[in-house]
Amino acid sequence: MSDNHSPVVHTRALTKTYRRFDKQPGLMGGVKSLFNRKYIYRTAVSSFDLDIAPGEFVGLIGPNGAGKTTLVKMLTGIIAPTSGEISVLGFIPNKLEDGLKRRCAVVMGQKSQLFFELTAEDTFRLFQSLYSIPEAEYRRSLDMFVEMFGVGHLTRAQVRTLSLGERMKMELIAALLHNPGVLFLDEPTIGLDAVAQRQTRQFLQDVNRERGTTILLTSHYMEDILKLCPRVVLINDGRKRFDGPTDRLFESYKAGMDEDIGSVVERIYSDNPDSSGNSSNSGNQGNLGNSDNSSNLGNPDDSGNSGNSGNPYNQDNPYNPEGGRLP
Amino acid sequence: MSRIKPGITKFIAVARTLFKAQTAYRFDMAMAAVETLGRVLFARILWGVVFQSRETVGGFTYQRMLAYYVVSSFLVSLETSYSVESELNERIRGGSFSKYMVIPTNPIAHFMARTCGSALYSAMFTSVAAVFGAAAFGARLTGAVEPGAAASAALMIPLGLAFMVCFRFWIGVMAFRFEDAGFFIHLEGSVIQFVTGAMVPLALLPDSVTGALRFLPFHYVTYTPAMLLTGQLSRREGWAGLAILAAWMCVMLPLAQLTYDRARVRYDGVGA
Repeated sequence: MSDNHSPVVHTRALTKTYRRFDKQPGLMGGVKSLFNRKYIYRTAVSSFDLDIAPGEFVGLIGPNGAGKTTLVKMLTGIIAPTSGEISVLGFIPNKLEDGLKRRCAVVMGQKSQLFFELTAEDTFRLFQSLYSIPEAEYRRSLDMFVEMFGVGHLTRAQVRTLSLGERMKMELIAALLHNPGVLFLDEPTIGLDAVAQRQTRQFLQDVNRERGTTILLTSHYMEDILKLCPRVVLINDGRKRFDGPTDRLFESYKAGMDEDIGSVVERIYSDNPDSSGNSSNSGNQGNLGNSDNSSNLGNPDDSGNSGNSGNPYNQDNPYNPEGGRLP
Repeated sequence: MSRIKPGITKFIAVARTLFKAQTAYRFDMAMAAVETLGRVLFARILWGVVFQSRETVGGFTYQRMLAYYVVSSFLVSLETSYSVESELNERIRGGSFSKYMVIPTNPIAHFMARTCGSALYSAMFTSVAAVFGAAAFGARLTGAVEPGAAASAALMIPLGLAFMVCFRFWIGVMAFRFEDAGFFIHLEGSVIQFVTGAMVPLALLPDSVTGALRFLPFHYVTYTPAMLLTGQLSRREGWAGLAILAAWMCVMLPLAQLTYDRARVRYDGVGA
């Protein structure tokens, strides 16, 4: 469906509005709502434009409730957009076509595809059938991933007996067995210890480099983003606030050489406030939070240098045209 | 044809995986076997009292009644599709239904394969329990069963189970629309127990009721196959029932698919 030059992920003016039951507090509120139900509408993602090129490793960051997971859910077809354009590998995700499912994968840190009663290898075998993976390819991929993670001794252990970190490794292996073209990761390192986080990061980096898998990573751990993603997209209040080189975003907000990453992130988020305007901007290093996100997008001919070094997929990236220009 | 083979391979793989998963729950299976035995024991006690004062009830002799309970208890143990609707309801409400949306499988076929796997596993234990129950409580299963009746029952049993999966899938995906399909599940659970003949043979009901139930698919899930396999219904009734069940399946399968296709667009994936 998509050729080598088409973006793997493409969205234009993508919007998702949720309708929520406005539950009044207390017993009386609950009873009243039985007869007079009020709904509130909340736009979780608003007019979101995004293009991701084949082989890119893109980080998606933003505070809680910013719209990251909603965006990932739309890209994986789990939920339908309210309006706008969306395509992944040339498919419209919410049509849930097998053609797309066979070429993409999603790992959500708090959800599992594994059967807890069985061994991880049982689930891998099931996935082999579901994705019609030839035996030789299955064996080659599994051997490679097992070696990368060093989990050969665990594949035949009952999943329920594995630690959180071990389970996440198995989730990642299961997701990648069919060699997807694009991988969506939503908080894959959540709850993992430092060692498991590091191993997961290394694994993802290797998969991206060796298989050319396009990866969109959502994480609250900025270590993940800084170490893995040459390009970062900042979302807040459902709008894109920044799209460009990760190091430039962080460098521009760093107050001093020794400042810890948490403070920098805090400043980035507060400088790119939600629509309530709750910006507690201090020591402003240049606000990227232009709520008119169209100005953040540029166009494919505007090939500003991303400034990335060492990432073969992000050099002169036409899908990241603005190169994360700072104001 | 090129799509059928991978489809069958997937179906077998899912069924096999669920079969394996069931092996983790030995206690559940032991209880399923006990339940099968318990049903036969219950029938023996209840109907033993009733038959003390009469030779037949609703056309059943005591022996035939016991035979019906042995076979129907075994068939009830195969009907494990109740887990489909409760799982769908919980996953849709809890947001984890997304796991079925991102893998290349049709959810109805997937749940059908899962039910097949768990039913086969259950059958391993409950068939032994049923035979043991028949021997222990003196039910004679060897009657004059027409080959045609047995053949129609052999087709009716898997078709009936497949129908129940579709039906319960349809109930389960109501959670997309109503956020909680618990009411439907509860209502349906009570009604199904009755109209499938799992509680009492439907022949004991008034003629007007049994006449009406004959047009419903549930009649052919437990009751009719059990009657066929105990020689209490003819070949002609078996094939007629199979035709009615097949007609219902032709309605329920597209209905479940259509409901799913339309309703899933409402899915918010909360918490996923």
